[in-house]
Amino acid sequence: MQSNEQLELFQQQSRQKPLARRDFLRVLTIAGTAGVGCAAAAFAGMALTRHQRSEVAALVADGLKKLPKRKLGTRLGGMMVTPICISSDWNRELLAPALDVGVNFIHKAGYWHQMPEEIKPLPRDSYYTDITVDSTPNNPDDFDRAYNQVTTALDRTGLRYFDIMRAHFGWHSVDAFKNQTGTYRAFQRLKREGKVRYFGVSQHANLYDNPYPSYPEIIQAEIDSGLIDSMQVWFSYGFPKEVEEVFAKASKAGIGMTAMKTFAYGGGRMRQDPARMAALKAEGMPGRACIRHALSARRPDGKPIFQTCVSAIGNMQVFEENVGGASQVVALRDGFTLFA
Amino acid sequence: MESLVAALQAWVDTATDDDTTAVCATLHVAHRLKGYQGADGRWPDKLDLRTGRPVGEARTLAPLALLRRLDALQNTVEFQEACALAEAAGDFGPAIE
Repeated sequence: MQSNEQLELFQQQSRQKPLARRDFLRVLTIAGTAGVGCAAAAFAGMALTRHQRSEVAALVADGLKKLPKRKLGTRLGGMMVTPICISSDWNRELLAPALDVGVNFIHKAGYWHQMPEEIKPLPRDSYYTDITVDSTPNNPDDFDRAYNQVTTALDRTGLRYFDIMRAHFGWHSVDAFKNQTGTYRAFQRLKREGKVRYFGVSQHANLYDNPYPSYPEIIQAEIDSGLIDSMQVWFSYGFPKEVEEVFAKASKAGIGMTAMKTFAYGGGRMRQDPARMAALKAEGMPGRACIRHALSARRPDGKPIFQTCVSAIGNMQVFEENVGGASQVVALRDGFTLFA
Repeated sequence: MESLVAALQAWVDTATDDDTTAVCATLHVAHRLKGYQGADGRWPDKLDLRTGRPVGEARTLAPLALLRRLDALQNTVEFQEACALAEAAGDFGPAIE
C-alpha cells in the first residue's frame, strides 16, 4: 500500500478511535520521510490524542531546528530576536514547539491573565515581551489609562517589566500623534520606574482600516519624531511601493521593524501567483511564501527592512508552514537564501 | 452587525483544541471591532468592514457576547475594557447572550 493510501486509512481510523501506538508510529515514520519542514502535513485531518499531538510537535520542532536571530533595530539595546514571534492569541498547544525552536519574542504578553505554564519557568532575560496599550487609538491623551494598563498587567502576570510598550493600533492622525501625548508621557514615567524599556507602535493605516492616515504620512511623522523605537506594521505581498519605501526609511533610521498580517493582507494574492511562490521556494505554501516575502524585503542599502514577523497560527500544519518560512534549515533545504 | 457576530460565533464553534484557526480568524475581525467601539460603549449597527466606515446611525451592543467569549477562550483580558464599556451602556437585558 502506498504511503498516501496508508495515511488516508489512518485518518479514517483515527476518527473512530485513537490510533494504536503501532499505527501512530507508522504515521510518524511516513511524516519523517516527507522532508524537513513538511512533516505536519502527514497528520492533516487526523484526530490525535493530546499526547500524540505533542509528539508531532516535537517532530516538527526537530525538523525546523533553532531559528536564527536578528538585531531588532539599533534603538533597542542590541535586542536579538527570532524572525517570528509568539502572540498571546496563538493556539496554546503551539507554545512548546515555538519555544523549542527558540522563538524569543512574545507579542501582546500583557493580555494574558497569567503567564502560560510553558513560559513561567523560563529566565526572564531569555525572552522579550511587548504590551499593547489601548489608550490609542481612541484616547491617545489618556495618561492614566495607559499607565494603569501596564501596571495592572505586570501585577496580573507577575512579570517585572515589559520590554516594549506598544501603542495599539497607533494614532488616527499625525496631529493626534504629535499633540495628544498622554500615552507617550505614560511610557516616560513607566520607563523611569523600570516597568517598560522601549516605546513602540503597531500602526494601522487607511490601506485596510479607517479612520487612519496613509502609511507614508504617519510612518514618516513617527520616524521624524525620534520617539519610536519599534514599529509593527502591516506588510505583505503586493503592498504599494511607497509603503515599502517608508518602511525601509524607518528601518534605516534604526527602528526595530516587525511585519504583521503577512498572510491576512496578501495571502490571497500570493496564492494566485504560483510564479512568486516558486521564486520564494514555497510552492503550494502561501503562508511560508508570505513570511519569506516579508523577511527578504530589502532597503536600498541591501539590508532587510524587517527583522521579525507576527503571524496568526492556529494549528500545527500552519505552524510548520509559517515558522518554516523563518527557518534557516528549511531555507537551505529549499534552496532559498533567507539571510544574506 | 448582528449577522456578522452570529457568523463569527458559529465559526468559533468549529474550533478544537488542536485547531484554533477559526478563533485566529475571528480575532482578526474582533481586533478591528475594538477600534470601532464608540464612547457610548456601542458599535455601529451596520459597518463597511472593508473601509471601517459606519453605515447609518443605528448603534448596537451585538459584539459584546463575542468579545467576552474570545477573552474566555484565550484566557486573556484583551477585550475586558471594551466589554466593561459596553456593559456600562446599561440598557440591555438578559436577551443579550
